[in-house]
Amino acid sequence: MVFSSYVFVFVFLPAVLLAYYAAPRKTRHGLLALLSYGFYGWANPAFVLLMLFSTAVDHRCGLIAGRGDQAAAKRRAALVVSIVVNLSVLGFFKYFNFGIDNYNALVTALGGDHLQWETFLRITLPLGISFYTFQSMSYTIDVYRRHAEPVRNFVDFACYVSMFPQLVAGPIVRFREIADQLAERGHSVAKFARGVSFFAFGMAKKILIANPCGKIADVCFDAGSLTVIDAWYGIVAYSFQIYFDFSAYSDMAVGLGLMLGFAFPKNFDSRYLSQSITEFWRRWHLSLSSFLRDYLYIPLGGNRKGDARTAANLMTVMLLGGLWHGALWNFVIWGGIHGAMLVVERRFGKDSVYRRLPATVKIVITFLIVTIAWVFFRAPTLTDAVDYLAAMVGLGTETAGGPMIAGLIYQPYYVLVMLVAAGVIWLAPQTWDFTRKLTWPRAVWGAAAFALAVAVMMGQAFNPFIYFIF
Amino acid sequence: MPSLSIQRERQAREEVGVTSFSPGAKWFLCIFFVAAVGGGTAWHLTAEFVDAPRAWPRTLDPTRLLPARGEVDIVASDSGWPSALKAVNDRMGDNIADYEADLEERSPLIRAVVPTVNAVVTDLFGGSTESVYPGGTAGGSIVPTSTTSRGRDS
Repeated sequence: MVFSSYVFVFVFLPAVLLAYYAAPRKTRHGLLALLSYGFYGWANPAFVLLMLFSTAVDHRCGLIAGRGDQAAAKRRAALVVSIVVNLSVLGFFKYFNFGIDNYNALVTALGGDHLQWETFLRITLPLGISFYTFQSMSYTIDVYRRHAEPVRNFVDFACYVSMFPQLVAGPIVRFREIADQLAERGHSVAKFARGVSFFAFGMAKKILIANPCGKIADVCFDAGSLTVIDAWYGIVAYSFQIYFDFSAYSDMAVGLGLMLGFAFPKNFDSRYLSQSITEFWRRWHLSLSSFLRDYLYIPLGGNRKGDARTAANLMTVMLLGGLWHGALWNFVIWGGIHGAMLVVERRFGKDSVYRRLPATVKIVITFLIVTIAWVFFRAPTLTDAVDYLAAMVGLGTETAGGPMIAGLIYQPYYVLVMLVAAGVIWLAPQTWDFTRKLTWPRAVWGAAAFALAVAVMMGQAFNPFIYFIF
Repeated sequence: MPSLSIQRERQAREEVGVTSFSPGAKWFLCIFFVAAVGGGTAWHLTAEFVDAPRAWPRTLDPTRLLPARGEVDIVASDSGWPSALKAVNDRMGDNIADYEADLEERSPLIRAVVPTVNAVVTDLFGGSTESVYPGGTAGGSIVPTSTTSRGRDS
């Protein structure tokens, strides 16, 4: 179930709000967990059991890891069990097919027989598994490190892991960020109203901007061959799609959280205003960046063990970060490009000519690098990515369908959406700031944006959420 | 160490950020949202009630998502329980898809709003309602799924 769907807006959400506010406070976590499991099971009911298993293991491990009187070895063992179980679940469901495909490609290249059994054991990727395993695992790690107290009540913990606003596409809410809110949180008209405005603007970004941009990108990436201009137009459209898709989802998640009394961390900060790749990663997917920093980069040694080790750590984090997004070499290359840029900026950043360039130029250069890297993120295979890059530098071959493609992607409606998207990205304030001061005009803007988005949503069948598949 | 009440107060401030509202704006947003979402739901349920006054609304019937008992028994007796569990899951997936399709098909809100929206998108902004599959070896093709601008985009 996606947020921008009829069933969510007119069945699930009213049911949740009605049940939540009608229920006694003590039963609200149980109710939220139950409804969140229903939300999760909507995509594939069987995977509810997988989430329940992961939750049960981490709850138990957390209790052992958090006991003050427990021997250090036992606490450590509980942490190891939690990490191994979570990474095994993630590894099996997300990377099994990838492993088999690569094994088969290798043995076939070496003249051997490839494995046949993958034909009946293709694994279906559970929705949002990368998010909730990371979130659940962060609990055990935080408890082990004594950064958080263990949760005695299983229902409270299940509520934390499964909470539907951020379950399938983040933000990855670390336990210590929300522990006190699980214990006690306030509900007020002000909080609900700000939640409404977040949700309204998120819905508008998704329906009115991200989806049309996605349609342009789909046409271009499915086209086979493009002119240079069309190829650039298509990848910029994808750049805008992923920006608004992710920004919209984050806004809606924060908004829904506020309606239920929770304050989730900021996950998105105008990333196309970044003046360097380093800054880009401080603005993009903040919860994933901080997770990788705290649980991977720093334990690897961070920047404390010399330049070579720092560069290796950065590359490791970015390559694994790329692989986290999907089991394809494309994602590894995407992570590698960003990792390499981080290393280069770290090595030459302080003394480079780049630093002295005007801010606008640096923003444009960073946007171009990020956009080119998106080709690997969007293309279904490595060959497709290379073909698309070739089209971007004029090495593509034109087909008879060229004029038809141009006729589609340059429709006035799509051109208008692209211009609006660019205006919102580079000129408009972001939702987080815009909703800090809710004057009457802003409130009316929010209401109108929501009404328009819902009206358009009902006529749109093209409604993918990019981050749902990670 | 600040007292618990001060900590809570600080936490509450951080949770809502530093949101300030014009008088009445927060109530407007809340009432608008509840009315829009709740109103849409109420309209839908009322239409279902008018269609079948003596029946329980289909939208509020979760049993529609479950597979029929006999269906599971047949699979279980033929192929064993693991296959039956898979059949249950598959059937529930199909039922969920049917539920959503039925919900949208019967929605009075969609019937009222979509033709106007499509007319605006096509007539005013020059958009289209075709499903397009360009590229490939054939050099591209357009598959119209809607012959007029009044239908749903697909």
